[in-house]
Amino acid sequence: MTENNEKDILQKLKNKNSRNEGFNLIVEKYSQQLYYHIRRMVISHDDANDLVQDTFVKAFTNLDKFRYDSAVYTWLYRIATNTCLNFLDKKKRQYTFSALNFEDNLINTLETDEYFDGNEIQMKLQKAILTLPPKQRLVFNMKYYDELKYNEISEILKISVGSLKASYHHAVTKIEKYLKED
Amino acid sequence: MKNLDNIPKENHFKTPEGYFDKLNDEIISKSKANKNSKPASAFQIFKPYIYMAASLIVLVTLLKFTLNTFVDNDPIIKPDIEANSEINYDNILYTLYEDDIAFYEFLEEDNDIFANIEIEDQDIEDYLCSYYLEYELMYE
Repeated sequence: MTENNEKDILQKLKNKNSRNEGFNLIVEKYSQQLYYHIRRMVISHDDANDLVQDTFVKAFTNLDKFRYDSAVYTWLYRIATNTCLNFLDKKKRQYTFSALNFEDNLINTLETDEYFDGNEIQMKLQKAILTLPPKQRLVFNMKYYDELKYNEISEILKISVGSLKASYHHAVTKIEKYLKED
Repeated sequence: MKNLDNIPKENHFKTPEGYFDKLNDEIISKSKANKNSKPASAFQIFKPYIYMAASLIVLVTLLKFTLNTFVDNDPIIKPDIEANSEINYDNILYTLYEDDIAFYEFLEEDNDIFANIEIEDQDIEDYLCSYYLEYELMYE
């Protein structure tokens, strides 16, 4: 990855002549990070692949609407998160009249996923995370795996820092309770 | 291993080999192709609704035409309004009580039938009991 800081990228995005170059740089810099952010939410590699591409397509289409007062990664994370939540919502609705619920289906996907190589403990941790409601799961993943600060998560999800702290605390409690079960 | 801190924070989600090398190119080409495609016009967005409304109008017109052409508008039995207007409720009441009136008239006539008949109290009671229920007698 080339040494491109946020300021250079912003400068390139602002200028119409260098906008495409700026976009290529943000794809190069954030695609992997966003892929894993989405993957942890939807579990399946194929779904994550579609959604990460959708995220960048939306970002590129709406570059004119990007306000340069916020960080690029915050903006991209927000698009990815909304794309992800809409996808999960849509999937959940498909399971309304099904005997199997959507969360069980995510666990099944994880268990049969050829691109998941975690051991038994890691599998149990992922199953515990999947028991959380989607928004709480998002908060947990962003804090625990992406190691974002509360104020950064707050800017992305538009949720107060206090609520985020409470949500993360509840998520950790639920996960540890699940891990203690047999 | 019951505590979250005891579990190593590792990423176990893997991707096919060389996935990220291709991903960036795919994203860039897809984004640019999408940007160059024409945005949907208002007609394209509302096309299904316009077609639905047009189908409904055609259906209603056909239905109306069919009803006007093949269904007789004159009802088979016309209500006899003139006859109905002459209904006199006094007449109806009179008809209903006609039998009772005839009976009273019969009683009032100087009739020989009853001349030689002695009616005992017990006969009256038996008669009443045979025609009226007990509660009717009690509440009269």
